[in-house]
Amino acid sequence: MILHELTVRGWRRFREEITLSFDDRLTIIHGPNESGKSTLIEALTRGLFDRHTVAGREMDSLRPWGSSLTPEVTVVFSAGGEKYRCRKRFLDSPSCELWTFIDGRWQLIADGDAADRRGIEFLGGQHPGRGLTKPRQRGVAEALWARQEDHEMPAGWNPGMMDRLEATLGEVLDSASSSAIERLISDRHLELLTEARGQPRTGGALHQALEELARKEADLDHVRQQRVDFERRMEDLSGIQGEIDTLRSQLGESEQELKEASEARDAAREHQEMRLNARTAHIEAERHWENLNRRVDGIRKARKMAEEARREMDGVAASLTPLRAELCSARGEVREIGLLLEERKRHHRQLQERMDALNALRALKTIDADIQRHRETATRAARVRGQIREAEQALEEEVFPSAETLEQAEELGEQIRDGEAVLKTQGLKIDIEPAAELGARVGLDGASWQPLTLEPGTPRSFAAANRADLEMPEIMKITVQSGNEVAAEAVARLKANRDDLSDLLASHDVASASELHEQYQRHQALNTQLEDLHQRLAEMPLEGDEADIERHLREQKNRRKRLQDELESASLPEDWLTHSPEVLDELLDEHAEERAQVQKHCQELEERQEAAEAPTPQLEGEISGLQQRLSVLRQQIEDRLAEAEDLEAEDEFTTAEARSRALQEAALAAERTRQAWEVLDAEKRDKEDEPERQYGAASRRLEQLRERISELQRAESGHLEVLEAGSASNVREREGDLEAEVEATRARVERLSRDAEAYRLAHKLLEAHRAERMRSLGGPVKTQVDRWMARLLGPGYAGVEFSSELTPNQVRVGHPDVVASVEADLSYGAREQLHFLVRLALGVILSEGERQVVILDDRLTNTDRGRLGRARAILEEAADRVQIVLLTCFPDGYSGIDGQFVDMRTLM
Amino acid sequence: MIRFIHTADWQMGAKFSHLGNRASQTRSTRLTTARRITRLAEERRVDFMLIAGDLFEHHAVGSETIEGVVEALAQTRVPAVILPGNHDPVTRGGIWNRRRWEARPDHIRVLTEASAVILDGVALYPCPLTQKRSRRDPTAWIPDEDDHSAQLIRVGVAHGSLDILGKDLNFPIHPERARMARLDYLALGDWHSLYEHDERTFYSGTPEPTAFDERDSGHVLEVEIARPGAVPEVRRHRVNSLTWRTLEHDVSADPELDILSGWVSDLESPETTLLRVHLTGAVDVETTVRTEGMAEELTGRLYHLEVREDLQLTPSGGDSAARFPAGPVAQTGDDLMAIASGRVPSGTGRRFADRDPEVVRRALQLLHAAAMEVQG
Repeated sequence: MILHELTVRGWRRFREEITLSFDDRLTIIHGPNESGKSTLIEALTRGLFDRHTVAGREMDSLRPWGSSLTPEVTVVFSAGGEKYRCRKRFLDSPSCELWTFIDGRWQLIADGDAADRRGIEFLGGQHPGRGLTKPRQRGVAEALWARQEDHEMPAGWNPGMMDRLEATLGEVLDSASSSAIERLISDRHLELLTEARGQPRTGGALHQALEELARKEADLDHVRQQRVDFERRMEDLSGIQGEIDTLRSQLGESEQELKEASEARDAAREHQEMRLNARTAHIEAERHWENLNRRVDGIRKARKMAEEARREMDGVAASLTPLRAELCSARGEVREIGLLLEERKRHHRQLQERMDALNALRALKTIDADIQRHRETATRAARVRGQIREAEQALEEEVFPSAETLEQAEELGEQIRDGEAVLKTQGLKIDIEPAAELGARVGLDGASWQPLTLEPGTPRSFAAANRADLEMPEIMKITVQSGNEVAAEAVARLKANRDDLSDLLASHDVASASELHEQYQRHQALNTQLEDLHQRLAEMPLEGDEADIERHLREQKNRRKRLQDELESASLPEDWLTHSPEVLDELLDEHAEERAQVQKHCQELEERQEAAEAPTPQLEGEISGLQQRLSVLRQQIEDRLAEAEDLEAEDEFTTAEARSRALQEAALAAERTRQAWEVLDAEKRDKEDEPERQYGAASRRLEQLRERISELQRAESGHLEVLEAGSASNVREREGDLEAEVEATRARVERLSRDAEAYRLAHKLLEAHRAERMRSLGGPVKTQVDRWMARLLGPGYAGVEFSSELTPNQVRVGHPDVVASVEADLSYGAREQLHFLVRLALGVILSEGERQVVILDDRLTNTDRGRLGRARAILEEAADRVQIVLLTCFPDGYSGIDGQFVDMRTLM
Repeated sequence: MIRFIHTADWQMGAKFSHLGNRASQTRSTRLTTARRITRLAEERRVDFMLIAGDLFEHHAVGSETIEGVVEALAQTRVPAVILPGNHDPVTRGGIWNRRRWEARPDHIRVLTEASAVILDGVALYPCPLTQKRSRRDPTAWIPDEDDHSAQLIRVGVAHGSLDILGKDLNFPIHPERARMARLDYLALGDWHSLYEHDERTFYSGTPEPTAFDERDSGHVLEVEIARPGAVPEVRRHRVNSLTWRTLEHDVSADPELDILSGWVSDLESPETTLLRVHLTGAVDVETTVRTEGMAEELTGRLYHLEVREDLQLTPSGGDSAARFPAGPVAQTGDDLMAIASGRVPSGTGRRFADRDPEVVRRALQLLHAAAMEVQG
């Protein structure tokens, strides 16, 4: 591939479109730093290798600073004899188009992703996947296009580069199909095994076969277990069958044994019955003898008891007589005392009655005196009360002036007299004495008219101070008037006083002041008298008011009546009724004394009687007890005798001799039966227990045998069921099928394993030979580099050694045995020059097939002028075989070289 | 006169695991053969069929196989008299106690007791086995004279090895038993190939072969005895369904394997033939690749093919360059050939000299195959 033209627009510093044309041999692009030389190489690389749709920060940074221009690059180139144009636009509306120049014009042959892929393939690159391409994905360009930053070489070139190299060189050296076979072997190897460790590859045929084998072996194991179990059960069954047979023969023997034991047991049961019968017979004989013996003993005991009772009865009867005599005498004394006590008590009662009568009589007398006294006092009180009533009546009926009234009347009289005295000197005076009686009325000093009657013979004077009116109807009217004020006043005052006095006297119904005085005194006297009478009445011995006294007297009369009735029945001596209370009191005292004596005597007699009565109940008890005992004993005697008679009657042997004989016979019978039973009992162990035990043992043995047989039969039938199931599930056939499958799978695994190993061996051998081959392929490159290095560095240099991937790793210096490491030992300049030559040589070698372009961006910067001159010659020589694009800041170093110079400054 | 079929060793339910995907089919083929035998019995109007042991391969044989055998025997009313052999001895829980077997028709009879059985003018003296192994002669009990001696034809039936091989045998049978027990015929089972010991003692062999090394299997015998004491007339009938063949072939004499291919083509019925090919001789790697191709081709034509190779690898006529493209492939071919021939290769291949010769040879084959594939 060679370049013709590169057009860039909107790319970093290239805002405007620029186009760069390349010389087919050598193009030297020069300009100062930062003039955009490397940017052009970047645009070229991205234009061919990066996908147009790639994005990200790094791609964004392609835009010219501060703009939103769309980066766009167009590369025109030739490859495989055809001319192409590839245009890519990144970021905004990204696109890629690939044209080819046919028949004088451009024709679009691919666009989009397809165009991307075609572009990558021109230089043997690899599709980058999602991101930007890396140097190792750029095929030949990794080796031939040395960017500014590629100071070092990788350890080996990428497969695309190697393929191109092989394709170029191998064609000359190898047959074409070798690598195809190698790939086939490698592919088959990798289908089966992993590259690194040679383990079966997951999902590969060997791995699958191994897994299938493991599965089938597991299945087979499972079925084999079933079959083994089947056979084990078969063996068990044989054992079980053998044991059952043995047990069955034992069963026969055991049944026979049981039969015999059963017969022996029947005999034993008969013996047992006999023995039990003998025992029953003996018990009955024994019981008979005991009964008989007990009855004979009973008769004897009853008669003996009756005799003892009779003797005791005699003794009791003898002790009863003295007790009865003693009881009789005690009862006589008690009776005598009783009679005497009766008489004394009667006397005591008589005395008591007489005293009661005397007391009644005494009370009667007291009541009479009381009644008399009450009557006298009542008479006197009645008189005084009459006097009191009279006095009170007088006081009530009459009007008696009070002391003040009396004093007021006396004061008025005195004032009137004073007034009259005044008038005598100063006032008017009318004196009238009519011939006949006539009625008149008088008014004095304007006072109201006062009616009066004038009578012949009685002169009347009226005094007034100012005016005095006297009217006598139908006769005349006299008016006297005075102008004297003093007189008037005196008249008025006199008239008022006379009126007051008159009113006062009139109100007490008296005519004069003296009468009024008398009345007052009489009132005083009446009050004094009334106080005296009340004093007298209070001093009288009255008990309550009259009604109380009357009631008291009534009660006293009733008591008297009752007492009189008592006395009438008491038949007191006639003369005692007339005795005074004092006499009666004396009589009472006498009686009380006698009664006390009689009472004392009575007490003495009662004590004596009690003493005499004390032993009597004890004697009576003793006598009664003895009598009861007598009665009991009598009954006992009767009972015992009856009992003896009954017993004798029961056994029908009434004689002692007969009884004795019967007893003896019974004893003999008991002994005989005892002996018979003892003989049978002694045989019990041998004839009963032992056969029974043997029967039990035989029976148990038989049962155990049967149980064991039935247990074995159960096991057997369980085994048979399992075997039947095994057969039903065709276990053996399945085992056969699985064995066949396992066998086939195993054979397949073995074959695949052997194939895998064989492929791996072939692959490893091929690899080894291929590596060796590559080393030999590197020969032309080495020859070229060695030659150029000798020219460039001089005779001190002996040759370069390449790795299997055709990168230089060692340099022989001076002597062929002195080896220097390119990385560690060469100077920076020498290494730079070596790398320059290697890339150039690779370009030249690759151009053997198709002409290639070598791009050297800013190389040989550390090379002295001498060597640079020699390098220039080498470049010129190489440019005949390969297109070279050189980018540099120092175009002077290359002046005179046969190539196209492009100045970046003019380009802009 | 009586006439009966003498057969033995049907080995029903045998696994044939080594036949791979043909195992199941091979088992069912034996039932086909069984039905063929019962049809033959019917056609030949025999009085009964006598199966001298190993009717079944194993006690664990499945009910489907039992069912098939019962069906085959029930195809005809000809009585089938069966002797338990060492593969199917009389034992509790064994094949003869399977429910399906016990439900068989009455004319199928198993002889489980060593005592005379009278059957249509014949006194049968069965010698049933009750275990898998024994040094005891199962025919020892047969009396030389009894109530049936005079008027009945005496036929013994046993399973074991005639004691003529001079080594420890399982169930040895006295070689003179027929004469000693005055038997008219002794029907034997156990050996899978037909064998006539004397005029009265026969192994019928298995009616359906079971292995490549069987000499003369695949028959049943039709036995006719005119009267007591008469010499039996024995006629063989081929009844097998499958044919087992072995072929020895020296490949060095015939590198193109033409004979082999021709031989298979000449087979009457390759699709029922099991073939074991034993390849010998010194061959080059091309030939080994060819044998593989041939084996693949024949496998498709035969019922079953088994190839055993005892081949010596020799260098080819020219050097590797003649067969492999120049470069790493040819170099690798040379190295592999050297190792396969027991030499140590020079240069790069030296470090692979200790590899397993089998693997090396296979690698050589694969490399060759790959070259042929690429180069066409």
